[in-house]
Amino acid sequence: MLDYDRLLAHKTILITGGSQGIGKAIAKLFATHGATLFIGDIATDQARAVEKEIVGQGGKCTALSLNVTAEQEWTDLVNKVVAETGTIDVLVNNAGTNIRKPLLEMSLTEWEQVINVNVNGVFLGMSAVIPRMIANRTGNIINMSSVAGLLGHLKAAAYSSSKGAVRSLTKAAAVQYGSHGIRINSIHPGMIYSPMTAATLDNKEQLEQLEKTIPLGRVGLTDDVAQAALFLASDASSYMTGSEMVIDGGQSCYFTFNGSFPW
Amino acid sequence: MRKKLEEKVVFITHGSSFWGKALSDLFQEHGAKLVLGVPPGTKCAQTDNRIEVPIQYTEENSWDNALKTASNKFGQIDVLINNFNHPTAKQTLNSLDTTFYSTVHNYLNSVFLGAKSTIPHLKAAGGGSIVNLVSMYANIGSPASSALASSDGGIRTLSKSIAVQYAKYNIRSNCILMGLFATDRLQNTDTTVSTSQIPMARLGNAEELIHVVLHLSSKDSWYITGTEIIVDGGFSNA
Ligand SMILES: NC(=O)c1ccc[n+]([C@@H]2O[C@H](COP(=O)([O-])OP(=O)(O)OC[C@H]3O[C@@H](n4cnc5c(N)ncnc54)[C@H](O)[C@@H]3O)[C@@H](O)[C@H]2O)c1
Repeated sequence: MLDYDRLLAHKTILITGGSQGIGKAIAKLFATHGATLFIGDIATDQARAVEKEIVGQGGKCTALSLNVTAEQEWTDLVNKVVAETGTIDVLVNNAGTNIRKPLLEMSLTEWEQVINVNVNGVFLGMSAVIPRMIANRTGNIINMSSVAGLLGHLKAAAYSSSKGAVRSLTKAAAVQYGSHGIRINSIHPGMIYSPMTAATLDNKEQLEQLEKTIPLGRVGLTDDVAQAALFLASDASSYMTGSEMVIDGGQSCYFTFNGSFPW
Repeated sequence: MRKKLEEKVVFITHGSSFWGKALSDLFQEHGAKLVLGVPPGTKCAQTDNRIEVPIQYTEENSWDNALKTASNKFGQIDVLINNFNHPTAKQTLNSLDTTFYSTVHNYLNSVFLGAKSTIPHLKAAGGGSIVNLVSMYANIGSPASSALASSDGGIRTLSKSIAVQYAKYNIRSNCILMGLFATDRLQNTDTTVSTSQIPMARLGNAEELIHVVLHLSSKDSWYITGTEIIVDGGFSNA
């Protein structure tokens, strides 16, 4: 029987981009379920503040500096985690970035910046942990894609492409390593209130317009995504791999001609 | 332990089937009150937290009566599980004979009628969740059964339409697309060939499906609607 109070007891879990937004919500929820957490983020000071908050509430959390685009930093970080806990059970590739520009306004440098963090970061993360997981004959990886990885998004050519790549990279790796007991799935949030989207969502007009396109009539909370991550990280989803979870209040399940919801 | 469905009333179709039993045991542990659909003519058992109701899923009247009995007993309905009760693929092999029509009639129509009759109750309860269990052939072509692929693909997009039309009442609707599970039906079947095509290299067991249904039924998935979760050990992506 699954213990829904402590779904992640005895699990060593690494979350990238855990210093704010969705990653922080995941870290906080996972901590209450008994996980031994490591947060890897370029915003090291902010990550330390999250560590302090979680430890203060009785959780187990260590903040470490990580740029997900740097292969050597991944190697060092995974070595450190394994030296400390002997293992790594779950990796949440959550770090991500966005440059909101249409294709024609985007320079190659900007394009590469987005692809580098969102795609190469996930590739490097999986490459760093999978050998350890193969040795353990078990492992679990959760990759943060987006609804933008399922449909074309306005003013987000690079972001959409990067998140589409995360989706299929997830499936390719899942098929490859399933027989080693490694599960790999993706999460596709819609519009979630976080520092990444605050500029848009704090604008009352824009928020109202956006809400009209969401069947459930509201933007999502970081906690909505964290609950899905918890579900995927736990044994409640033990037969799921190469699968995806869309958390968007219904935003991507319908088609409309005028971009707004008919009520 | 935190119970995920405390005080919630859950209607499960095909309640006495393999999946019906597995689901009702788990849901009861999580505090749900259960209404289990059983074939007409069955002698119905009743306890404080659990009733059986006879129902013919392809008849609107029958749905309405069953739901009336349920809401009289428990006062409300919060969750509808359109349970998986498909024949094995072999039984629907000849895709365009009468089996095609009866399969689509039985599965697609009963989900339509179930939603139609249940939504007013979910609305009255201030919202709720509909979970439809279908095969992974809702998303991909089936080598064995066009009928199954048609009914399940239809249920998949029906579920999205329900989601988009009734979200304003806080009603959510999602599908679970199932791969191969070790059920009573597969007991005497050689599954070596299919297992070799599954990335996880094994069939799923009942526990591995029912917790997904629990997740979609509960408030922990309250921002998830109009979508599907594939539970197939990677089968349909291989
Ligand atoms: N907020 C949304 O609406 C939304 C929707 C869909 C998907 N997502 C995805 O969810 C994830 C988290 O989003 P968020 O809204 O919390 O964003 P956020 O900008 O608030 O947080 C992103 C985090 O990633 C870290 N980060 C960025 N680049 C990094 C790098 N190179 N190395 C290490 N860490 C790095 C940042 O320091 C930050 O802590 C992202 O992958 C994002 O694309 C968000």
